[in-house]
Amino acid sequence: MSNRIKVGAGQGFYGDDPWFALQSAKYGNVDYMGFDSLAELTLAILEKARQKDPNKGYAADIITYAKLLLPFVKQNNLSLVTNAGGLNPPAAATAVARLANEIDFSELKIATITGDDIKGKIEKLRAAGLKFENLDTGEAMPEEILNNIIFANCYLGAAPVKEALDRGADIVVAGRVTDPALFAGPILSGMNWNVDNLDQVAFATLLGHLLECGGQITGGNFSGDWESVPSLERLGYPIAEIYEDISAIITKPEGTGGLVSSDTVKEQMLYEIHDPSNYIGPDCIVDITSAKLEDVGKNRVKITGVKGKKPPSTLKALFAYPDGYIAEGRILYGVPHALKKAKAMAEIMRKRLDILGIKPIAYEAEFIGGGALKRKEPNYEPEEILLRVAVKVSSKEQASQIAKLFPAYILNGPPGADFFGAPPKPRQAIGIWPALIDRELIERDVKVDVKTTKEILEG
Amino acid sequence: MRLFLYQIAQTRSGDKANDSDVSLFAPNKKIYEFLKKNLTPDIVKSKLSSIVEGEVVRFEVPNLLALKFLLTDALGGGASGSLRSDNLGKSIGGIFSTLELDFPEEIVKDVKIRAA
Repeated sequence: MSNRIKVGAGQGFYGDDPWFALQSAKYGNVDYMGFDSLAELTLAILEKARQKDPNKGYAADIITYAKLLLPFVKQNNLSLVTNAGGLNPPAAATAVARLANEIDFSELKIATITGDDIKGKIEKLRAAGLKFENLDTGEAMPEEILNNIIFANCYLGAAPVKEALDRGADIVVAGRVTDPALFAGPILSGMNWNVDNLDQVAFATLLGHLLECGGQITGGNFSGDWESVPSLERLGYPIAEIYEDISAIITKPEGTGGLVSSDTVKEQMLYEIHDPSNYIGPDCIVDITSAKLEDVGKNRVKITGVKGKKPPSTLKALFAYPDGYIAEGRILYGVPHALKKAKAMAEIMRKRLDILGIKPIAYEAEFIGGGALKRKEPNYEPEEILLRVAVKVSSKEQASQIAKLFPAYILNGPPGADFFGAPPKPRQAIGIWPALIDRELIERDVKVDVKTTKEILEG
Repeated sequence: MRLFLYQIAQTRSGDKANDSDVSLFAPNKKIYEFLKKNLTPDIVKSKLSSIVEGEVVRFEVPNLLALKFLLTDALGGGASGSLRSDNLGKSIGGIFSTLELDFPEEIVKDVKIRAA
């Protein structure tokens, strides 16, 4: 059976290295590529940018990737799907259109998906009786959070992505769609599959989940025999070849490093999905417990047997609110008694905050090299210890003040302290309030808009 | 034979809000059954008690010879607000894999055992 389409992973997270995507575009012979640019912290930054300038609010990565990949869209008929639209997909589409115009690509069709950003209709939803009960605790959203929402987005699924591609889009610029939808959309569109066919949509969703973390399925972050994974310095990002009988092969571009085996694939298959028989998404609930993996060739793994169940009648929304500011400081200590010195310094810093009248919301002292990740002291004397103190306070000013307290203690604290670079800039901590919302209330405002470069720039 | 989990099994961990989840993969069916019998949520919780504040929930995934552990309240508040270095739970799978168990000789004799 000939494979119908090839879908490649381009980006696993905001700030990923575009070199990997370029290898798939050049050597992977892919029809579609998906790009994940969003995280909670990214959205918070984008909201600030949008407030300052209504033409901002999208992830800047889209410019880097578009510059690199537009020539492949033009010459090889490659289609791209990204969530880099963030809180302003139309502005991102305009930015991409300008780049396309520079290479005389006026017939390029760019789709935007909007309607996931629900910040502007919170009041309307409340008026309709919604209390945004916390998905984990059941608690109704308190006023204090309601009045301080930074951003509020619902996770949309693959349906609008499929619609955009079905309508001829070469590039789909979305905001908050689920990560798997960035790939499931192209799979459903390219295979001419139906969003209502539960086994097709579940299979497309699972493949999306396998592709969404880039190199984590092709030998990166592999806990098995990781030392024998070849050439991580030129790792290939994953490609799924999808077949009409609801099977697929996971592979990677010819000539790249890394490894695709049932061992690397299964680690990603269960990654961050919680209940494997009920992996819940907007398009369906995927049951992974019937999936079958088979090594069918070098760097080729076949997947079959995924089952789908009806999707929930709700969509998941994330409401972000300010949760203080985090300041950090680091000091490096050597022998003798590195750990003892670092612990003493952590206490000194705590008392220093007392003197200044700073009452932290949370205070964390980590002894890196001395059990910081285990959160347990080692039973040996480490050669050196990096003290890392992280403090959460309510105001940005206090956070800046705290960060400046560390350098002086190179000279004023326990002996032999090394300056470990300037303290990182304080950052805002974001609280996330998850809630479920009746999908009809959201989906009726979801819009898929497809325009050519020319229409966008002249519109 | 006394072995660390990482010598014969694979693990991967990640985050979802303030929870972490850890997958453990056995190399064959006998070892899967042995791990299923021996790695109760209580044992996992006690191995990771310094990290996990909440309860541990276990899922069985026999088609992948895997066990999945959902560790609740395990990241000091979740990625965007946590003060921990490992705010995404990436290292928890590795830490979990330093758990030692006494494996019956006959179930490990045919599998590759990695250096301790």
